[in-house]
Amino acid sequence: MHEGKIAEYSYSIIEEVFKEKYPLMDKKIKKIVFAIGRPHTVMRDSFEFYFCELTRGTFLEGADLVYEYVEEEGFYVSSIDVED
Amino acid sequence: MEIKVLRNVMIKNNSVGKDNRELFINKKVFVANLVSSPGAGKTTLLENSISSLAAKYKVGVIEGDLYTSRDAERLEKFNIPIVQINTEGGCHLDARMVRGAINELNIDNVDVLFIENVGNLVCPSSFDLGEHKRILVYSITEGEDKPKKYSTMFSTADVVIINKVDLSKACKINIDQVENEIRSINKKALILKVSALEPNSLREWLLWLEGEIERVKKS
Ligand SMILES: Nc1nc2c(ncn2[C@@H]2O[C@H](COP(=O)(O)OP(=O)(O)OP(=O)(O)O)[C@@H](O)[C@H]2O)c(=O)[nH]1
Ligand SMILES: [Mg+2]
Repeated sequence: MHEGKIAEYSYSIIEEVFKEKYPLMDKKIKKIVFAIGRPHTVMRDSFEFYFCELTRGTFLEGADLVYEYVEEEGFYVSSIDVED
Repeated sequence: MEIKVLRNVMIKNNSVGKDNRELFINKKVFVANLVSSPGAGKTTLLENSISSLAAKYKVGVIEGDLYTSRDAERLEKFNIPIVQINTEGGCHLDARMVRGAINELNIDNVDVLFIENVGNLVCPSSFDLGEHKRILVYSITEGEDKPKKYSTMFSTADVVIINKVDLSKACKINIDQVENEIRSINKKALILKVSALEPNSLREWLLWLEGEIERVKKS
C-alpha cells in the first residue's frame, strides 16, 4: 500500500522536472522510465494502479510506464520522454 | 526528447525525516521507531517499559494506527503526552505525519519519544521518520521463517526484540535457531529475548534504553 505514497512522490518529481523545462506544460509525455532499486519492496502492479489513478486527466495520462531494476537502494524516476 | 531525471522518489520522505532528526538532536530527545507485524507486542512492550521509565524520564508517544485510538487509550493511564495518527488505511507512518505529530506534542518537555508504527512487516521499512533507532518487535508465534521472508525489515533494524518467548514450547519454536537466522541477515543489530508481558524479562532492554537516552541527553 505504500505504493500509493511512492506514486505521489513520483508524480511530484516528474511535475517539477517537466515544469522546469516546459513552463507552459504544453507538451505530452510519451514514456516514463522508473528504476526499482534494492530492496524491492515496491509491487509494480500496485504502483501502476495508484499512478494511473493519480495521473488520470493530467499531463501524464496515457504515458507508457517502463521499469528497470537496479542495485542501488530506492525507487527512482530515471527519465521521461517528451513528444517533439 | 528524453530528459534524464535520475531522482530517488524517497527523497520526498527522507528530506523531512532528516529535518525531524535534526530537531530531535537539537532538543536532545531520544527517538525510537517501533515496527512489527500486527500484534507482535509493540504496545505491550511500551506499557511495561513506560511504567518503569516514567519515574526517571519524561516520555512521549506517537501512536500510528490505520483506524481507532485503542493503543493510545491503553497508554492514557501514564498521563504522558500522546498523539494518535490515523493513517486511514495507509500501511506505514511517513516523516511528514510524524512532523505534524511533533508539532502537537511539544517535545521540549520530553526525554524519550516512542513512535509506534502501523503493524506491518514490509512497508514501514522504506520510510525514515528521523528516529535514532529502529526497533523491530518480532513475536516467535509468527514462525521461524519470517526473518528470511521479510528480510528488509530485519536488515534495517537496530534492535530486534524476540518477543513472546514464554510461548516457545506451545509453538514448538527453537529460539536459538531464530536468533541465528536473524543474525545471518543483520550482523550488527542488538538482539534481545523477552516476554513483553513479564516486566522482569525487560531489564536488558530498559538498560539499553537508558544508555541511549543518556547518550542523546549528553550529546
Ligand atoms: N504470551 C504473550 N502474549 C503477549 C506478549 N506480548 C504481547 N502479548 C499479547 O499479544 C497481543 C498483541 O499485543 P499488542 O501489544 O497489542 O501488539 P501490537 O504489536 O501493539 O499490535 P498492533 O498495534 O495492533 O500491531 C496481546 O493480546 C498481548 O497481550 C508476550 O510476551 N507473551
Ligand atoms: Mg499496538
